[in-house]
Amino acid sequence: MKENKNRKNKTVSLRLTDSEYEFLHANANNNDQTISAYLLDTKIPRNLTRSYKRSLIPVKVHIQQSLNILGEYLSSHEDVDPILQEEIMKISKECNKLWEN
Amino acid sequence: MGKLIKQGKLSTYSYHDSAGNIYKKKTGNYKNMNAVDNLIRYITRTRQDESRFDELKYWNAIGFDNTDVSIVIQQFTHVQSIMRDHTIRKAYHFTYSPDQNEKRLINKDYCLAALIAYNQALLFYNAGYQTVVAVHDTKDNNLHFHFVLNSVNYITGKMFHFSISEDQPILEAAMTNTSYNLIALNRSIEYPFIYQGYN
Repeated sequence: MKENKNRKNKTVSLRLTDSEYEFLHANANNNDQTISAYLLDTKIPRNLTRSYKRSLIPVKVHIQQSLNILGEYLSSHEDVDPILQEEIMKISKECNKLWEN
Repeated sequence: MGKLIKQGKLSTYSYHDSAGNIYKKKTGNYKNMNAVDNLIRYITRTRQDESRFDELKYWNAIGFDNTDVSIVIQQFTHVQSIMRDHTIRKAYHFTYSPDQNEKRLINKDYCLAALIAYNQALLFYNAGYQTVVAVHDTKDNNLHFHFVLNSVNYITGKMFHFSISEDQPILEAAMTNTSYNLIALNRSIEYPFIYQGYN
């Protein structure tokens, strides 16, 4: 991804490179159940704006802190339902993916 | 009342070059690129060739993935880069030293000290600033808590502002209040978190 800055309008957008875009197209054409296909099917614009990313930050932090508390509770209590533990691990992994974006 | 100290005050030092010219350089405001990394690694005692690990009694990161220090540092800078174009001051660093009476009541119970530090850090987190907290106790019985705040508010994106004359007394009173409240409750409450890095 490449970051473009427009100083006049003070906007910043993140633009996919051509190779990334082609790769996403190729995956979408193969009917792959990937995020790329999802992006193309739902017609999300090619530019992911910075304000969109900014709006995600409070959500990420809140989820992260809730996971911390849950994780700490689980590790300090032995008699926790293993299914619940697994579910929390799953959510934790999903949250880590969020941070990568 | 416990004492709150804002670390990293603006200070200058002078040095001479080979030609004998005198230069003055400002230091200590956590503005350089490695400031966050150095600061967090210092309070969590995870520096390279760390020799003072025994002083660390507890650390936690509120609003970060607290499983690893390197992830905390990464998320710290991530929030700043997304929320603001340029962040000059990367972090704020405070230390809180309990007074003699508090120290006597805590009586080297590091679980209680950790709980107090955690709840004091929540004061910052609830205002919208992610915080890394650590409890240190040195050989000469100097128990103190470190707080490293992200200078960028994770909800509004605004910078943290701190006035020593106005904000410090209020914050100091709130922290001491938290401390005495928890000491009064003492062992009757269940600790809602584990103690990472707890020795």
